[in-house]
Amino acid sequence: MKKIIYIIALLFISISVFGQGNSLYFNKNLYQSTYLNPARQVKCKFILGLPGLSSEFVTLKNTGIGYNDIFFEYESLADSFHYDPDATYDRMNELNYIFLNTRTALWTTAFWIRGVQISFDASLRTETNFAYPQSIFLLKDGNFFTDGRFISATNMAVNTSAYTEVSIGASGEVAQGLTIGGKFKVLRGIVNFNTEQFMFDWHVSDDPADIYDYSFNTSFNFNTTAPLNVIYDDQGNITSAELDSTLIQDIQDDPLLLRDITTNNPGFGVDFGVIYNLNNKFEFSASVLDLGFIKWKATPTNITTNESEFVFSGLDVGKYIGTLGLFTALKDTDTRDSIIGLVTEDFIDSLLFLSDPTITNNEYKTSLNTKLNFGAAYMPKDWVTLGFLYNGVFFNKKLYSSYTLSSTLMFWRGWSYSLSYTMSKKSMNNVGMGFSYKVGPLQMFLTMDNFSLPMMGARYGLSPDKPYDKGIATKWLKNTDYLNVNFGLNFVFGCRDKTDYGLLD
Amino acid sequence: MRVIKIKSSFLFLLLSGLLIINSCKKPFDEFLNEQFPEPTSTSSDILIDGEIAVPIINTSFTLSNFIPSTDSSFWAEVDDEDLVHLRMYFKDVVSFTASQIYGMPVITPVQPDSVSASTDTSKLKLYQNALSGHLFFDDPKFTFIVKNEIPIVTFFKIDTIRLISPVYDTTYVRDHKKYNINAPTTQFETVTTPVVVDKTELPDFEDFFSPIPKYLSFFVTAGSDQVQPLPIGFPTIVGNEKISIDVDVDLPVNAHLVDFVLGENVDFSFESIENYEQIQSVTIKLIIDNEFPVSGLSQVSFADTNNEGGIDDIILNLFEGDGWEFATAITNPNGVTTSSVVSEVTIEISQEQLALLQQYHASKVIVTSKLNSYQSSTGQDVKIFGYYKLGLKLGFKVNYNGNTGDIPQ
Repeated sequence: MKKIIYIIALLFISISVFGQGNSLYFNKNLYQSTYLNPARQVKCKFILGLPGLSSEFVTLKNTGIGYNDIFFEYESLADSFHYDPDATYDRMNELNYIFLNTRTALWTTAFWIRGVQISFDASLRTETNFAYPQSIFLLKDGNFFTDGRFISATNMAVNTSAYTEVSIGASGEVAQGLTIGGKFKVLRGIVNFNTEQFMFDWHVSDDPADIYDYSFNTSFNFNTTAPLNVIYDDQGNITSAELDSTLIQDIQDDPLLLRDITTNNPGFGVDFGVIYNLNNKFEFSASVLDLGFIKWKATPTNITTNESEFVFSGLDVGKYIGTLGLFTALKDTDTRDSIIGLVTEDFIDSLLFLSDPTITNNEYKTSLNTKLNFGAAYMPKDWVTLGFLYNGVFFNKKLYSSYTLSSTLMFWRGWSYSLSYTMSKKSMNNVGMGFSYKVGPLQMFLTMDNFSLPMMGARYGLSPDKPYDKGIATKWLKNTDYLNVNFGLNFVFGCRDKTDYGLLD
Repeated sequence: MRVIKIKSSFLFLLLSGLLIINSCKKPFDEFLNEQFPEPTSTSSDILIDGEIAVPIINTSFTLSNFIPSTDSSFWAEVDDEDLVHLRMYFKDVVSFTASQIYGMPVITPVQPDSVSASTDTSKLKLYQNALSGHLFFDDPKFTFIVKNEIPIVTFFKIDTIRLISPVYDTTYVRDHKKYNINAPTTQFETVTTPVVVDKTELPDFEDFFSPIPKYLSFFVTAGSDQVQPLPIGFPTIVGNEKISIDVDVDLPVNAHLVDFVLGENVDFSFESIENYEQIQSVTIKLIIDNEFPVSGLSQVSFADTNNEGGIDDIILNLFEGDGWEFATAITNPNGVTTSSVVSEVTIEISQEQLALLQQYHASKVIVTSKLNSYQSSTGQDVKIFGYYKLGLKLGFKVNYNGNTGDIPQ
């Protein structure tokens, strides 16, 4: 169990594209493909997803370093590793992200009215990201540079949101082969922590007139709806902040309080998409997802500092030594230790005092991470779809792109299998698979854009006693920087495609 | 293309069979353990290369920072002009009883008599860390506080003043003179008479006191030189009435220093520092902003210790040659600082020098400084005021490069 946690933790620090379940995009059997393009239509009269079972979606990724960027193997020593800080550093981007997104479908219904597919969905969604700049890891070379470099944690950020999404959607063919669709979404925020701005630069002076003086340039701006108790000292300076456990306890005692809180964090969003089918051989599509915002008004706290510079050029030990005498202070261990303790405490107090945060309780707004999809597909047979998908995600005012090639095969009656390959910047090993089957009205599915973990399971299944040998499954998992899992079940009724495609040889 | 009709139930049975077969095999976590060794089982090999710089001290001291307030025999004070005075007070350096001077019983009228003795040898802590050189105080002053309970003792004589200077292996002696003192007129009364010895009394006092004496003692006499009756209020002398002497040394710091060497040592250990061979060099930067009108030729030495814990051999001197000199502040002709002077030095300790410290088990740091006051060669005195500051900035930089482990690449 410990090892499994360890592997998951490794994936946490080693995953890398903004995934959304790209394997799903061209799957016409699964209602969940409408999450990626609301124009997509599933040819069943009625679709029902039950709370918690209909669809579970998890994406984990890191645009920075992975397992193999931290632990380096020796050619001659099969089971020994070493660290190479320079290589690890070189493999990072200037700004790296770890993302964890989840969507749990609480309710799913879709049906047809006069040729238009109508859908109602309710989901619980979380979006978390942690940004860390490469320049923190410049510490590998120490802190003294004469070429203008400096240690910086600027742009480090933690952003997390949990919210509920209730949507109504419609998709209809407006012209021969042209389908358009959209979803209007009402959002209710549960909790948010948002790093609006963070600056922490640490310069070490190389001026010959200085003694390697440190100067820290700092400023930050955080927003959160987590209930905070801020503690002040006698002078009105902030000494600490802690979660208000009273409110958390109240929510545990009376869960309806959560409803009141979410009602006070309203938001709205839209998805829309378009699909053009040409002669049942070609398909061109596009979609825009999660265009919207949430206003956080319930228990908001804003912690802000002005940009400030704090210069540290050594400890002012003179005022602590006082009348003890310099050499007495140096020679007596207890005196020396007590002076060091006082000086350290004072230094930290000075840093806190100089950052001088102000705290307000103003409402604030966060945008959803909007996604773009452009797809093209070729269907040489009615049971096979070969597709290309461009996926872009706007995050932190930048567009992060990934590209997916996929093939989806239909077999038997309502079963499908898909194989995909997704690539993005510095992430080239994302071979994914998807599988769905239908028995009576029950339809189950599992898709993954990166199949390395199941491959590891397969290796275990086939040869668990084989020792460590740098095999392909192990290598793949160690190089994996993206994990995406989407699974669930639907009840589908009145599906129009009754064709039994059999199983291809 | 051939289409094979395979029932889904057959596939389900096949998958279930595979799962059952595999359930008898090695646990999955054990399997993962082999594929992903714990980080703790990786080697400690890390190739490191860089420089870490730390500003350590940026402070300023006034003279009061250096003087312990808890030691009453070594203290300083400032006068109304903020001039620093070094002060030492020695209590009851000598005392005589009436019976020691006149014998018992004492019959009135009392015949002239006296007694002489050497005082205790008092340590001048002022010079505790002084090693050599001269410190010329412009106006040193000894005040003998004579506390007299004997009604017929009328004089106190300082026969000799002795300053013992082990540095120069010399005892300096000056003959001195007799003083009249006050006597009590009633029983149980103590009458105090201050007797001041300064350069008006001892014209060469400045030079006499200059060669950093570590110890001080006097040969004194007390008694009477006339026949006297007992006062009316003092009908009898029982014999234990006494005369005792305190000595108050007052050294206003209007002085000049000539090659005045101070030294101190502090325990030091380099042996606890592991992997020092990864340290390519250590650079130390020191900046002194000196408002004191005194320069200092300074040296920092690392030494090992002998069997008795004393200092044995010097392993390494931090500064080349005789040392590094921080400059004196500039004064006006009255010896008052008009501008401070900044001195800077950068020291680089190489890996080879660090190896020496490790190899020879350096265990003491010796700091010495040869002080000279502004234009001391001309004999100009300088004044040290309580508000003078010594600004001190100290930082270091470590250049490291190495492999923390031992597994070859």
